Amino acid sequence: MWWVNKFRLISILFFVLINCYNCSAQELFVISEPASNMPSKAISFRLTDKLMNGNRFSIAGHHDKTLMQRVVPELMIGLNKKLMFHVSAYAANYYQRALKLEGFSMYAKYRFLSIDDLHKHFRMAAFSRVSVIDHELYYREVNLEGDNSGITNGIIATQLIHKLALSAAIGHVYVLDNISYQRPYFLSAHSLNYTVSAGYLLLPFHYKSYNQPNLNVYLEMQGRNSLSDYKTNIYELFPAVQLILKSYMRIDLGYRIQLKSNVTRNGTSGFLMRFEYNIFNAFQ
Amino acid sequence: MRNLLLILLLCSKMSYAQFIKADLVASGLTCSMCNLATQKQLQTLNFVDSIVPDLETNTFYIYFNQQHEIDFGLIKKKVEDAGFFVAALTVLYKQSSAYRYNNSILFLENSVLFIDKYEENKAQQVFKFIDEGFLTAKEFKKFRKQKQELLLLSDAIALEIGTNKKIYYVVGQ
Repeated sequence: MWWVNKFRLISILFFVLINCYNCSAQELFVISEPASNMPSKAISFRLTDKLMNGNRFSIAGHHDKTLMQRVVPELMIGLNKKLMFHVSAYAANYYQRALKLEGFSMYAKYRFLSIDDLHKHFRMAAFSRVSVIDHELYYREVNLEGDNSGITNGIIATQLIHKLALSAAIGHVYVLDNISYQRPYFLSAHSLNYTVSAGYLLLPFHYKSYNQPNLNVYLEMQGRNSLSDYKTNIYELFPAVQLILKSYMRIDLGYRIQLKSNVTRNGTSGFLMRFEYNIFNAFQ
Repeated sequence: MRNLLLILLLCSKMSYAQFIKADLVASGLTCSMCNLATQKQLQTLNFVDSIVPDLETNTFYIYFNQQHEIDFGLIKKKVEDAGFFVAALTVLYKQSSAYRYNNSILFLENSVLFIDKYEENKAQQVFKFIDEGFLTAKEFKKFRKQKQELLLLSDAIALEIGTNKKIYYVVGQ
């Protein structure tokens, strides 16, 4: 009978809500960073692969539709409870046929506010990224994670309520010349980059051991607007799933969807795969 | 006489058997990864023998190593190093006259515990820490009055015994 099903649905919903109260949420975002830091004296290794069916700009002047990827190895260090660093390398075949190491970036994050309670917190952090990249530029898209040399400074705010984590970040991006190539006149020197992210812990319902896998789902939005005469904008959506294994390994699988943009880019959509390995108390 | 007793107390080599275990609730935790990070931080303390976690309630049952002295401040520091905070800390105390200065004070090598009510006839007691950083902000407010009373008492006694040790305020449970 229809009301039996309805009753069942309501009980399940009720059960889920009750459980939410006792668990905690996830904020290990895939494309953005939370305001929380990694633990003090911990080291993490990350390998990210960004894949897309994109347009490779060739010297001959025609666009080459091909499978492109950027591989990003990353080392992360929690120096103390408030300060952490990332060092990343970027290797891609976006600009030539073979995969080539094109540059590095350094990221620092300082947590300056924490309002914690049982199963919830509000945190704020300031971050900075410096990128040094070497390849020629053809597009108006600004991206310090592999495409442009430059500096970003910004702030992040993250709110965690039980199983749900919400986060927002905003940063000012200043683009510098790439090592052997000048910043083209059509590429804006100043731009604004912002993200809005939500994460939800799906499994487990009850935490019993560190060996239980965790399943999280994420939905993130990123906007990039130039602050110069050449008005450019890019808006993207990133749905992702995340698996946490044995409480120290992490696997992300995400997909990038362009919602709206007025610039020519390497590619408008693509996959993201990531593996992360954490070592706690790695140094004294 | 009191000073003499104090000197005797401080000179005698102690075994640290008076505290058996602690129940620590951490706040602001987000995932089992965070729980593991916290536990790994706590395990670096030499006075911690073993830890049994309850991931559902973010509680860590800490069993102490009897050969080393306990530093309660370090427990708080380690939780904060992992990126979180102490929401509650209670310790199980086994009656041991050697550490008592009077009915409301326990002397440890590096710290002094002021207790609101000490029950002489009980073999074991549970003490809850009410200092800032050992409670949630809400609970801290709740215990404010009790702490004020303990402060008045401890100021007078601290003057008398001239202690420069870390002072903690606890309430009997």
